[in-house]
Amino acid sequence: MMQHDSFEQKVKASLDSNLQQLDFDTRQQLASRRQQALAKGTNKWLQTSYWLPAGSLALCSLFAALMAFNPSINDSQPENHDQIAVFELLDNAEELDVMTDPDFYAWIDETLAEDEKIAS
Amino acid sequence: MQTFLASIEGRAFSMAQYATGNRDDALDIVQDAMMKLVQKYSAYPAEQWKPLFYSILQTRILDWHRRQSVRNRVRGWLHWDEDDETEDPLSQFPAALSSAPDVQIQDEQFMQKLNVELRALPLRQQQVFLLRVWEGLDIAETAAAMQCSESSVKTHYSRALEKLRGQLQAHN
Repeated sequence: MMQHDSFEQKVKASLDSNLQQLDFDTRQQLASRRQQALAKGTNKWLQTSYWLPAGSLALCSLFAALMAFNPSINDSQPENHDQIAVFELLDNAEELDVMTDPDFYAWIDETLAEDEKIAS
Repeated sequence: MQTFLASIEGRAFSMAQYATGNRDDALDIVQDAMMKLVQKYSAYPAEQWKPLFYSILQTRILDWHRRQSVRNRVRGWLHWDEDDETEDPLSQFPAALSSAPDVQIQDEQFMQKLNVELRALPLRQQQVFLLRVWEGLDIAETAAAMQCSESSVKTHYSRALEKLRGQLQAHN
């Protein structure tokens, strides 16, 4: 603790006296803000440090899910075309016996092979 | 923590008010500093709270001055002449009691003059002086709070003391 000379002591006393005369409204404001600070400071749900990591993780997961499931973002478009062609063929098969015919699957393989040749 | 904040808030508010010249801004700064202390440092030992709190408070005061500086620059570019936000420093401190005895009148005059002269000091001199004389922080604690060297604290303090002595000599 520093030793004050008489001038410094007078200044300190004057500042203390000044503080004693602080108006009622300011005192009330300070008490209210202190309570707010204590309430917000101790409430973990209101602290950014509490929910920021979880929020970041959720955002990353959402982004990853969008990347994985959105066809417009996905780069594997040729593969999708093949899959769509197969689904269309299967969808358009009017009779079940066609789908069980081995020649039908041979024909699909040939068609896909031709498509790959054209694409390459 | 509650008791500590209650014991320190008045002086912290006055320091912020000397630094900003604005009551509402001073209240905001003190509240921010209290919130930060509670959030970050409430688990620390109680004897560390005071230097930590004043370090946060000084950072908030500096931030306020930086924002004011930018705002004033923008106003300058836009040629705005609004000076209504700067309050009269004297109006923010208690008025002298008209019915007081002679000694009390002298003390009130000294207080009024002190308020004006403290407000007129450069920010760092003002805050170093208040932290040392009023809050009783030692040189190392003041240097930590002000984020400057101990030799800077000594220089700021001696300059502030010299100026105040010179200006308040007649009232001393």
